[in-house]
Amino acid sequence: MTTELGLSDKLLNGDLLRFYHLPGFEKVQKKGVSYNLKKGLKALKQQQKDHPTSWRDQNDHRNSIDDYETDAPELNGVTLKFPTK
Amino acid sequence: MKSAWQKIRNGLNTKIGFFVFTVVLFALKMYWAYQTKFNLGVKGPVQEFLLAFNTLPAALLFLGVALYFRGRLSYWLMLLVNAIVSTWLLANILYYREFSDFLTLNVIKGSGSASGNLGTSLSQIIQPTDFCVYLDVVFVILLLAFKVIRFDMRPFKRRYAATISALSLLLFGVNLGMAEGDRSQLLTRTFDNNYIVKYLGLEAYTIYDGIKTTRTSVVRSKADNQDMKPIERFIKKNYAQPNQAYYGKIKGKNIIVLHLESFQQFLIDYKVNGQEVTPTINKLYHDQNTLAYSNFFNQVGQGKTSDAELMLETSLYGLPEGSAMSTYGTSNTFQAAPALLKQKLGYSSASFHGDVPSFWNRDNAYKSFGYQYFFSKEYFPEVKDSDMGYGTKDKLFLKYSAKYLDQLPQPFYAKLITVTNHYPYLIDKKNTDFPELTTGDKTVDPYVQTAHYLDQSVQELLNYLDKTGMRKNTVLVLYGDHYGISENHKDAIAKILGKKSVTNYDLAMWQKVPFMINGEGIDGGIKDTYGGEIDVLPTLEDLLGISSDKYIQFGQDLLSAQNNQIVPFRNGDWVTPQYTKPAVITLILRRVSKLSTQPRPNNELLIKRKPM
Repeated sequence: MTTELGLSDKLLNGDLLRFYHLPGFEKVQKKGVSYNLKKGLKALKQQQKDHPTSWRDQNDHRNSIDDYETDAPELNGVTLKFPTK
Repeated sequence: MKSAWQKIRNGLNTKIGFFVFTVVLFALKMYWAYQTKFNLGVKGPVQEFLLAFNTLPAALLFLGVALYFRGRLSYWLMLLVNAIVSTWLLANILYYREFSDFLTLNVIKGSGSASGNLGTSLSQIIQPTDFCVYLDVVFVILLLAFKVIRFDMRPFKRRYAATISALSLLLFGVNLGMAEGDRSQLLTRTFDNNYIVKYLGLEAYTIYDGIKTTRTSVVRSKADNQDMKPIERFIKKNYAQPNQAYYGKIKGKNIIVLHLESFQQFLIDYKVNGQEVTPTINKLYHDQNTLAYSNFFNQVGQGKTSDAELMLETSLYGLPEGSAMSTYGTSNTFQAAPALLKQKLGYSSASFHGDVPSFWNRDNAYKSFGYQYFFSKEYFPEVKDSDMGYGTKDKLFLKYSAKYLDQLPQPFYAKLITVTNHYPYLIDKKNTDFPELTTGDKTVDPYVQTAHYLDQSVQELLNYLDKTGMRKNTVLVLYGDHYGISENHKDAIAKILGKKSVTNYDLAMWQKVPFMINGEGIDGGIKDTYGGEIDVLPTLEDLLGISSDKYIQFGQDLLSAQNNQIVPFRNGDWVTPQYTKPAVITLILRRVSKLSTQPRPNNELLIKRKPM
């Protein structure tokens, strides 16, 4: 057990996976990835165009949030406005 | 009036007067920036006070350096230092606006994940008020230029300068003490960079980050590919062959990982006043299409939730101290679930969380894991009373998530991180009518109320998935990330377990959390295999039909006949179906062994497992 934990620590501390080539796996490309609201929504829209396989794509672009029922009192009489930018 | 103004001018015309004036302006500026340019989540009078107070030690220390110099030079040095720190502040304001986080040494060095995105469109994110960070510098220069303030050419005694430096350190000590009082383990666990800035200030954060980065860089620079060899050997030896009966069973299906905050196994089928605490999760647990594990343990260390996430995504353990996601999430290379599923099976990926993206360094670590999307608080509507404790209440959060879930290209891998069942288990009265526990421990008693609320939230999510038809093509993975009631509450734990007192064995078993995989067509059942969070990814890979024999993962497939059923914990303890090693026994024996020269048989460390 100590060996196992120690090896895992060693791997993380030395960032050793940078030396390990996993067959059929390419290193993650972080460049260009942004979780910023505006960029995230834009990327999602683009991906839907490139891969139109989402639930919405299969359901006439209907927004399913209306199907989501909740008894949360905070949402009583509230019209949800999702931020867009 | 005239004489008062004259007195002020006379004061400003001395070096110490000018210094105090500069420090006050600098502190006001920093406080203004904290309040208006960042989203630090300041709550309560202590945090409000510290936000103002933490501006002083750094101002005294950095601007005070100029007092060691003579004549005009000391004045210009004070302004230069102020200008440099102000530029650093401006850079952080701009960076924060884009990334909701503070600049790190890694980003500056260009090895950080965000470096590629920096500077792409500064003109788009900069605001005119950002330049107010230089207002005090310009103002003081004008006062000097128009001789409203005159240079004091008299030498400033070094011992006074040293006293000011010492005072700054003393104030920092007070600051740190108060911060630790309000948020213990602030620096050791590294929850969120926002916390460090909120409690200790931007300058202290920068120094802290610098020390941390330098320390990790040294270890990193000494490492080479030979260091991988023993790890590869261990992984090869530890590898468990997949179970052919399950291999590829869920291939191509959407995966929703439901992260159940602080959710312990004892809640399953647990009743308070005859009412089930978690009827929905109980039903899932017993469902014939659910693979449920009754001996599944959390294996987190100080990194708590972030350690659980790391183990699930990478099958690597968290660190013995601090959070691996915070420490290495930005700079390290990972071969994590989102990237593996995308590259091997074409899955899209997203994580959902109703709090700020910087918490546990998720905004950077997720990029390293390969997450395409991270829907955090900024993606959700602002609704009155929507937050509780660590973020958006679960019922609202899960409903908001549906807005984006249905837009993800299928198949997708989505992680939904709930937060309401988090210590100190606060829930407003309008959201619960469930009875509290009656252990008499005020920390413990409301735990079942927030757990019940979480369970109701899960029911609403299931209703939605059923109604939209999404559930047919979706596999749900539910897991509790770590304990909710710590071992410090032994009396309360004993009452919950219906015992007079608890043993070390009871406390080891107290670390159990639920783990279940539910989906149409899964040949389910309650499995008593011993396992932990480290084993989740290899198990999913088996079910998805991904051959993982070459992967560097420390866990084992829970479905495999070769699973060794050994569950190590971060504190050195472990459990197996036969034996349990609790920390307390080890500690006692270590102390005793120091006093004794006689070697001890290994089995003294072990407690034979009791029958269930």
